[in-house]
Amino acid sequence: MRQFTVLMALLAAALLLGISSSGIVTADYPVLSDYITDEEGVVEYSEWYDDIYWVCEVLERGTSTVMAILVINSTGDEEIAMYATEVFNENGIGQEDKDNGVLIVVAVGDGTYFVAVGLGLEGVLNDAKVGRYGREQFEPYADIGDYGQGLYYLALWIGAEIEEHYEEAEEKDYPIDWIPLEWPQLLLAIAVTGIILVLTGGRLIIWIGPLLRNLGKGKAGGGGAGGVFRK
Amino acid sequence: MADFEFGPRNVMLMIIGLVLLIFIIWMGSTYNKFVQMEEDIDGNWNEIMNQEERKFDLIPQLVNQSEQYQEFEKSTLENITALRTQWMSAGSDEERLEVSDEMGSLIDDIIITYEAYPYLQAEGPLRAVMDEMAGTENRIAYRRTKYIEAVKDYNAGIKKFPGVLVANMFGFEERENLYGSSPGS
Repeated sequence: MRQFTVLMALLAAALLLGISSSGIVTADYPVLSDYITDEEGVVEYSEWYDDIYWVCEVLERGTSTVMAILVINSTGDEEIAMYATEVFNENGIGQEDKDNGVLIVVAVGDGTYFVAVGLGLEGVLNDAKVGRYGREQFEPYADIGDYGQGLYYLALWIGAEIEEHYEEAEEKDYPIDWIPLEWPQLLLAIAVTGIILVLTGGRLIIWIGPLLRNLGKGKAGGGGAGGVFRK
Repeated sequence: MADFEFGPRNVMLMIIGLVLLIFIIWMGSTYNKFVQMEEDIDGNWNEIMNQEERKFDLIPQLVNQSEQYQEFEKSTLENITALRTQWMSAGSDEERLEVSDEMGSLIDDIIITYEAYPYLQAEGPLRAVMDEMAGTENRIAYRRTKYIEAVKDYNAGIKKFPGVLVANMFGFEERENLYGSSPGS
């Protein structure tokens, strides 16, 4: 009888493990928690950082479009277009129901870049347009190693194109305008955060930064354009 | 009403009931997972075909623009136009894939020529159509990877234990990877 009970318990545990492990996802791509993620320090410490950030911020406030920038050394064996699309989808850039995100990836060590465009923006930012902006606005500066300025102009032109053609469905008023939560959701979030802070003895602070800057759940399908520059 | 007792028989019945409940929940969740995986395979495949369609729609523009430059071989452009006609009359997805493969090598010839002469790359209609063509190829490459992964995961899922139990019970069948074993081709 005891052996039978143990056997059944083991079977139940195996099934539960099977259910819970079915949704495990392994991610090898960088996690983006803010508009600019610079692993190479070529933009973060440049005079253009604040300007690029400002362009992204104004764009999101005005159109809800999320534009993110990632600077890395290399994409390894992976093509930069594939890499950028995977990073885009792993991080879900843009609003879930609009897929209105843009991700600019620059691989400094490879001398390549790619602008991945969310599915919802492909009508506004077609490949030819993005390719031209890259060549005219980014490449001349990247060729001389001034990535900050190149990214600023590229982001500015892309942002202006979106601003001009993008139709925002509705604008909502939130209690705190930079947190897209209604009153009940906001109070619940504050209460839950407070409880977890107490329970974890304040360790939640370590993870709260990235949580505050949520880039969304948008999707991309490989659209966009890129190019090369002199390393 | 008789009093409930935690006797060995009742405990055993409760455990069996719990295990059965967990089994039913697991079966439902696995069934849904397989259905979702099939949806992913079909969704990715449909998107590949949409993008292939888009690529062939761009062909007349590409030929028109390329014809204006003597660097492009006339025979290549004629073959591309002929392949487009073949694509439009193809009866199955497999046939379309074959035509698309042939088209891919001809487009590669055009790209090699295009990249060999920097003046061809000046901003203009040819550059724009080349960007659109490259973007379409990126979309196809991305979806192809996702499609192949989806087929692989699904086929592994329905063959492995314990998923095979649900797959056999509900008739989930192995799906063919239409790109064969060499996805990069």
